[in-house]
Amino acid sequence: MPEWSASDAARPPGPLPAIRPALRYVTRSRASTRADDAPDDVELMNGLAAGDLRALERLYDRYSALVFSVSLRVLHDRQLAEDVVQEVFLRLWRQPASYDPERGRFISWLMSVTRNRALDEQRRVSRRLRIEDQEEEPGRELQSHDRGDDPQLELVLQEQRRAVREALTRLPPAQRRVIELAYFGGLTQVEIAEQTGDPLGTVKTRVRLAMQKLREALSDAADGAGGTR
Amino acid sequence: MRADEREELLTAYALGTLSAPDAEDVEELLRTDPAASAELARYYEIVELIALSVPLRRADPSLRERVLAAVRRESTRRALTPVARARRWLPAAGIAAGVAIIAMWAVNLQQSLDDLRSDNQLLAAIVEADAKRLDALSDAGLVAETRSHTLETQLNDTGVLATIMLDPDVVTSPLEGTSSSHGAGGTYAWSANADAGVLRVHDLPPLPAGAFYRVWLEDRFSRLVAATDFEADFAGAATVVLRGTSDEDPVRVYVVATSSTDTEVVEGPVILQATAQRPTGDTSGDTSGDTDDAAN
Repeated sequence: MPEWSASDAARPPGPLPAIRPALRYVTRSRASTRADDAPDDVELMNGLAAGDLRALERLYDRYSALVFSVSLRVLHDRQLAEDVVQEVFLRLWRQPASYDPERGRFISWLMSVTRNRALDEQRRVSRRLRIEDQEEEPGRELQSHDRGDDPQLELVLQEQRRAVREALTRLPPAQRRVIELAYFGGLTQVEIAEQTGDPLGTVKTRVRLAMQKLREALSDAADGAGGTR
Repeated sequence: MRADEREELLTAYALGTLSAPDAEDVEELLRTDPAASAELARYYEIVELIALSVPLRRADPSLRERVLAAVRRESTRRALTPVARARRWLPAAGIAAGVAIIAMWAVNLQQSLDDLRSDNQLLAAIVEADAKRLDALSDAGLVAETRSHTLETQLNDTGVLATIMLDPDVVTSPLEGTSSSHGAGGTYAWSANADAGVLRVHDLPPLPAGAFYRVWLEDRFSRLVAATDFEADFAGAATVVLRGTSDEDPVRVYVVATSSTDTEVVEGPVILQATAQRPTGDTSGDTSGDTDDAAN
């Protein structure tokens, strides 16, 4: 008789369902730069508001690798990062009006949504990483070939991304570290001070100096990131 | 406040790294200093660029289709459940809408599914019985509150039932008994489009006091989720509406007898079980929509 009990909780009765079939991989080309006649991000968001599924497909093809990569950077878990990707794009579909072009560029808003969702997930599953243990040397993170982009991916926002990497690389390591702990780790200044062992005042100063330098270095990139707006 | 202190607060606020008391200080500053708002907006733009520093990585290529399949499911569900949305705004008209849906449901099923007629009658009987019970209550406030809740639940369930039954892709499977079933049986229907299903059971054995029936849904990854608890009527019959609990459609369903309130633990003898029968022609073993990929 197929029965189960608390002691047998891990196994359902009867045969297990079929093993997950091998995934069918579909190669999809992705434009490295937006074709002149391709709709921009705002037009695509307007398409979403009108229920156009093709608009969502185009946004997915344009930004899913970036959304996934940011989520992966925060969560260090591919499955969780894929969950975040799904939730982010479902949110775009459900609430396209939550993006207001008057309040900023689409990519900034999308990155904000992605980061917040990934940090929420990180807190939910209590997988906040001990970044001090897991983080590789920051300069290597940004410069080494084996930590670079997946070579099979066509790149989006390539110029802006290169500028941001260079700006971060030029920061003193201690300043870069507090930025990464705050942005990707979701840590407060107090938590950063606890983790690094630095005085809180030092952490505050590093955040301020790093942000000032980034602002100086990235003012052009900030303007240029609107290329698909 | 010194200029560098002000800058420290604004940069840290933009980065989201301030503690709550410091963040309140910044919000006070923003209320009183328009220049601070403009400065903060510039820092926000810089902060969101930081995300662009990550090395690009590829997600599983199947993720694209999973996302789009989830969107399609949701779109279909939205299109098929106008009554569920309308009930929020038109509670009085909702009763009539529920009756209309029941009638439409019965008409659509009359030729192919005779047993749905009994469901219709059962639902009508439930509504009538509950209405009588509610009328008997003396506390007017309690009556109103309870009636509203009951009718809302029934209407919602009715809307889901109608949606399932109107779905041409609904998959129906017989519920198989076990040695504990004592002649119980029934049917299980699942609508991927509606992300909902219905169990119709009969002749369930009576349970001891404190025990009840629980429905578990299992997806293709062997993940089990407690879908709902229910009690059968005096004849051992019940109609149970199931709603999707994950992005994956269930591939098996189990009805167990239990007295446990812990929905994290699978416990109790299985009384009935069913395996979802795939539509003819679908041999992928994958309910997530990979067939669309194959067609590409």
